[in-house]
This record gives sequence, C-alpha cells and structure tokens, in this order.
Amino acid sequence: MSDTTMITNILTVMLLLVGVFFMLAGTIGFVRFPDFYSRMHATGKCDTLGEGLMLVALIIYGGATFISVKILFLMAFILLANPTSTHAIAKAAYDVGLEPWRSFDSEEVAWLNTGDGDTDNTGNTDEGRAGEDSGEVQ
Amino acid sequence: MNIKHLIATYIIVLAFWLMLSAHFDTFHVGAGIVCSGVVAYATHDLLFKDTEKHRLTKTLRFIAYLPWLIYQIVLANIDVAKRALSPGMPIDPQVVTFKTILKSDVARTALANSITLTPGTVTIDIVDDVFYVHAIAKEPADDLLEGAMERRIAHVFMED
Repeated sequence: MSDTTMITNILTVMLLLVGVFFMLAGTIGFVRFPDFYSRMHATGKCDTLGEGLMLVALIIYGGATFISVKILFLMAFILLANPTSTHAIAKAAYDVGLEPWRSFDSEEVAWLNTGDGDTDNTGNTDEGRAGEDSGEVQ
Repeated sequence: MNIKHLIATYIIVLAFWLMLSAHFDTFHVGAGIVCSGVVAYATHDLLFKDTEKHRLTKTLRFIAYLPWLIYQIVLANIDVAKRALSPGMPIDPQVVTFKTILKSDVARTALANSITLTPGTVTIDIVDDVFYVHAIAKEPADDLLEGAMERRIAHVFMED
C-alpha cells in the first residue's frame, strides 16, 4: 500500500468515525431529551453535520469523479432541507398548541410563591401549567 | 419573456443534466439538450426575478458567509452532543421572540435556517416581523437576542 492510499484511508476512517459519533450523539439526545422541541435540536443539528462528514469521507475515498460532484450536491441539499424540515415540524407542533417542556429550576420561584403547602402542584404537570403558559401560544 | 433569463436557465439546467448523467454519447447529450429546453422554457421566470438588484454581490457575500455558518454548525453539534451525553443533561428550554429588521423573504428564510443550524436554537415560526425561537438553554437564547447573526444576514442581503 502506497503512502497516499494510506493517508486517504486514514482520513476516510477518521471522518467516518467523527460522523458516526455525531449521529450517535444526536440519537442519544433524541432518546434522552424530555420533549418534542428539544428532540428537534438533537435530530436537526447532528444529522446535518454527521451526514456531511460521512459524505466528505466518501468524496476523499472516491477521488475527484462525477460521483463526488453528485455527493457535493447531496450535501448542499441536506444543508438546505434539514433545517427547513425541522422548522416545518416544529411549527406544526407549535400550531396545534404543544407546550414546550420547562425544567423544574426555571419554575421553582413561581412554584414557591404559591406558598400554601400545595405540594402536588410541582409546576411540571400538564394540568398545572396549561393556564400560566398559554400566553406564549398563538 | 426575458430571453436573457431563458438562456441563463437553459445553460444551468443543461450543465446539471450533464453532471448527473455523466454519459457523453449522442443519445444522452441529445436527450439532455431537448429536455433542458423544455424545462428551461417552463421555469425560466422562477430562478431569476426581474425585480432583484445586485444579484452578483449578494451571491458572493453569501458564499463568504458559508464558512462562518459551517463553523457554527460544528459548534452546534458539539453543544448538542455535550448536552445529550452529560449525565446531568443541562437543558432549560424556553421560547423566545424577537422582532427582525430583515424585509425580504429570502433573507428571512436564510436567517430562520441559520438559527436552526446554530447552537441551541430552533426556529418555530415567523409571524409578521416576529421570530419565535425555541432555545434549549438560557445562554443560546441570550446569544441569539444579541443579534450578531441577524446583522451578518442583513449584510449578505444588503439590507443594513
């Protein structure tokens, strides 16, 4: 194996591995994040870079051919289509009134201010929040 | 019908055909010439708008904007990966709104997609002049409201 082939192979494998890492991180985020909107963060961003890195790896491995030009176009379309579809899905969820999840910390003060030992209302149940946040939804 | 736009569209469509087909025998090139003609005739008024000014400057500025965008995408991925993989999962989602200074649809689309691709923020909706953005924590929301990206987009589309 000549030096050039080896460098090409090493670069390809490294880029593929980094791409796989980001895809994996995105998938783990998808499973772990608490609600619809934060899951959009995981899938909408990590897929763009993960796929991009993998496609760059394929271009390096394949060399300059017509195929690599096609792959470049693929990257451009993914770069355009991924945030657009993320936005479309998020907008659909927002339009039907899905409430974004809030962490306990951010509502702690409001909860403490209710004051009268009402420990059932932790501020994180759907019933407890529907009224107070409804002003944000159009 | 603007003959300049028709010819420009024809050249672009034909070049795209040749690149995708990658066969240069008589049949494939001939079919490309005919099909490109039909497609260019049907769509020549979609790609180029008569009203648009400074098209070349905008295109060049947009190409200059891309490296910064790619850098932001890398930052965004590291950010999400960190939040997804750390045991404490440091997220505090919130919806923030801000009023945009951008006028044209293209500029607003570019800003919306850039917001989605950059760390910690996803565009939900644009109502009139107001962007609704879901931020995964407080810091990305503050960075967005500071408005650096909007100024960059405004510069690219010459609206500053």
